Amino acid sequence: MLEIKNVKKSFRDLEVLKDVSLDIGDGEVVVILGPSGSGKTTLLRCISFLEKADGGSLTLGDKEVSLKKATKKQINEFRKNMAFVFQNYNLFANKTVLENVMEGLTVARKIPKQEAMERALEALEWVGVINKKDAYPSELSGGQQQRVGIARAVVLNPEVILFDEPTSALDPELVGEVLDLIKKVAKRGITMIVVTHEISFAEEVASRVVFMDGGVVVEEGTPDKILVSPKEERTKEFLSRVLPKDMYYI
Amino acid sequence: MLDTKTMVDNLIDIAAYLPVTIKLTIGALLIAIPFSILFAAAEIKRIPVITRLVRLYLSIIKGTPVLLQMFMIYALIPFWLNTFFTSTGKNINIYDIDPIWYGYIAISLSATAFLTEAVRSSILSVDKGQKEAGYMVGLSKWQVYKEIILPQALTVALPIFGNVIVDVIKSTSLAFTMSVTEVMGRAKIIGGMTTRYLEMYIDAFFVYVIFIFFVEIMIKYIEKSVTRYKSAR
Ligand SMILES: Nc1ncnc2c1ncn2[C@@H]1O[C@H](COP(=O)(O)OP(=O)(O)OP(=O)(O)O)[C@@H](O)[C@H]1O
Ligand SMILES: [Mg+2]
Repeated sequence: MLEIKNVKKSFRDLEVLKDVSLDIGDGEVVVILGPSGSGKTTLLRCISFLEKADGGSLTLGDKEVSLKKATKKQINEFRKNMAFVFQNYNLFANKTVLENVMEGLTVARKIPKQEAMERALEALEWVGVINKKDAYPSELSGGQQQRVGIARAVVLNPEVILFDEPTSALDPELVGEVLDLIKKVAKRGITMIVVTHEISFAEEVASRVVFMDGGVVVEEGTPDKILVSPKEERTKEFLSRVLPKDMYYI
Repeated sequence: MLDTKTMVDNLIDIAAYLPVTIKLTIGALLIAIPFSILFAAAEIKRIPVITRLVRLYLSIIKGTPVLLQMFMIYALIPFWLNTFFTSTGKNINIYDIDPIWYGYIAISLSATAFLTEAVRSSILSVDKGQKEAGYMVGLSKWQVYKEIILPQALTVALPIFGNVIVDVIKSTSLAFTMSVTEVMGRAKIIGGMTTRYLEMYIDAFFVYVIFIFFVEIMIKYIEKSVTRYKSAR
């Protein structure tokens, strides 16, 4: 169980997150939708401690931590159960594909090289880029880089994976295959929070859709409820802008 | 008009002082490298008072002529040392100190300033997403630096380091003003003895051209072997 409570974050006098809370069950796939600037990325960054929140807490399993006052040790402890897939991949540029996937195992978790390599190769096989294992990130297409990004996350066996617009930097023809891979991750039963603009993905994969705007959760519920019959005016307005006409039933 | 015989005869004599030039370069760099790393770290970490002092140092050193810095070092340090030795009752003659030490210090002042800039900018050039990805796979801050940031910064820094090294080599030619006899100093001395200044300067010119040519080849070679991962771009 992942419980996000009362997250607040401002940048100077810009209030980006105004008290955001989410309860997420094990194995749930939560898709966060919302207009640009609504605070989606900031929320993911706050709960992964990449950004220090001004308030709020996080509960993972039976451990709770303050997002504002977490110590280094607590942060490391929580990050052990968490992985992040970035919009622009952020693969380690000075490491090969295989080294990218092994890094967290060997350096951070001190797993013996041989075992780490086996696990990394297995993960690369699973995401379908095993043939590129000795290439450097700069030699890969965006789609291949994001596959490696996903392998790097999955190999650590995290309880939760956070995806921040994992396909929005990709060429359109590559989006589909990466989304398919993310669906495959979902089938493994890992808890996922996915920020995306791909509504059809939300419809198909999400156990829950959260609509955010202006730093608050405006509305949340099953894909059916949020995508087909939203209650809030802001949600309707957003969907009418992003959904193709024939998909929009309201 | 050009006395080619004197020129050729003395070329070897002048080139024989290349080791002094090299010694000055290496000595100055050995002082400058650790300081520049510390200074760059202070700048990046923004340590209240220290960062300001580093910035002050950089603007003073970059904002004044190297020649003037050398004159000041050569006048000030013996004076300080003398005062220090006299007050502590030690019987050390400061004129026994090899002037090459003043050379190391004077040249390292500007080398430190330029290297600090190179180290700082190359570390900051690494995308912050690299650091964040490192944290998210569980690396500690130190591991992120050692595994990800510094190796990438190094590939950015090497070409800049190369330029700094060439600049340092060139600035060693001013060390003769502190009575350190290196290539330039030797050319001046023989020029004085033979009154064939132009010929000796041409000799020195060739010594520098050839030496720096080799240094640049070496730097390129090192760059290539370190920047393996970018070559595919
Ligand atoms: N480091 C920062 N410093 C200052 N302002 C920031 C910072 N990061 C984000 N913001 C601001 O916070 C607001 C929310 O940004 P955020 O990136 O969370 O939005 P988002 O919902 O992810 O948008 P998008 O769909 O465009 O990615 C924006 O107005 C943004 O300009
Ligand atoms: Mg975003």
